[in-house]
Amino acid sequence: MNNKDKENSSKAAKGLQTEQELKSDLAKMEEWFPVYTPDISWFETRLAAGEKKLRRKKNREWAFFYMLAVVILGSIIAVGAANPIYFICIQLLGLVIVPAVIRYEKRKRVV
Amino acid sequence: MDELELVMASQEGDRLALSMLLRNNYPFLVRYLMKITMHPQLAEDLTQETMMKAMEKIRLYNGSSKFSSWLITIGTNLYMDVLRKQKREQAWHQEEQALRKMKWQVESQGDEWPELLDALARINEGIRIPIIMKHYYGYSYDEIGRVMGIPSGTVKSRVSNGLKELRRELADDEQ
Repeated sequence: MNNKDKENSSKAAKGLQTEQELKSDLAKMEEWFPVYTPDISWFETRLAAGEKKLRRKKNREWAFFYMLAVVILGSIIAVGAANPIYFICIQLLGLVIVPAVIRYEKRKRVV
Repeated sequence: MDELELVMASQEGDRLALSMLLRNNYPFLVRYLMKITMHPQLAEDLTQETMMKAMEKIRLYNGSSKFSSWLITIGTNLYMDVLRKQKREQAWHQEEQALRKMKWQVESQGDEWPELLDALARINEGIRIPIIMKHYYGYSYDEIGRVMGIPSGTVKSRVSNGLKELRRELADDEQ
């Protein structure tokens, strides 16, 4: 065995020792800090509360979405009724801008 | 009921099945989070947040990995989010405080806190997590990559460099 081989095998042995030490020390951690698992009713109560919170959050988001839709549609109808030419301009602008943005985004992704 | 049946029932909205599923995985999840955070209180908080997230996303679980792996993916991401939101200095202070408390608790039981755990707590969590997942839980580099959202090659180099850093820290402590 030459010097380089000796050095490599000593490094490997040290590595193995650290790995084993790591395993045993982390296992000791489990003994020092035992985990108490609550009973099933605790989980059910938590989940029921979580579901309620989630439902409330979804309702809030839907309400916000509908309000925003009403505002946007209302403004478009108001503009269209008062000045049809503005309405047509907005529509034409949308027809040009949307494909341009999509094309730009696609090109960016390829690059 | 086995795990697959519990998952299927949970996805259909059976709260009892989901409670059983989460209860079965609770100790594993807390222990995992305790090791990667080195902070028992934070681990408990993250476990509860993980359970809520799992409840919200249970329909998205497709069974391609073990349910426990899916849970630790959620838990790991939540931990990374906590670290991102915290200022570096604030996070460091909290970690130090938690570590001191753990050491004190162990020493008051008459045991000695291992230097290796000290060194592990001091290294960056982006390195600590893959080391623990690889060398304690025995996950493959690919699985760790999927959990952390990084390529398996990056995981491999982090584990290897991390172990070297640990050995260096231990050698410095000995001198």
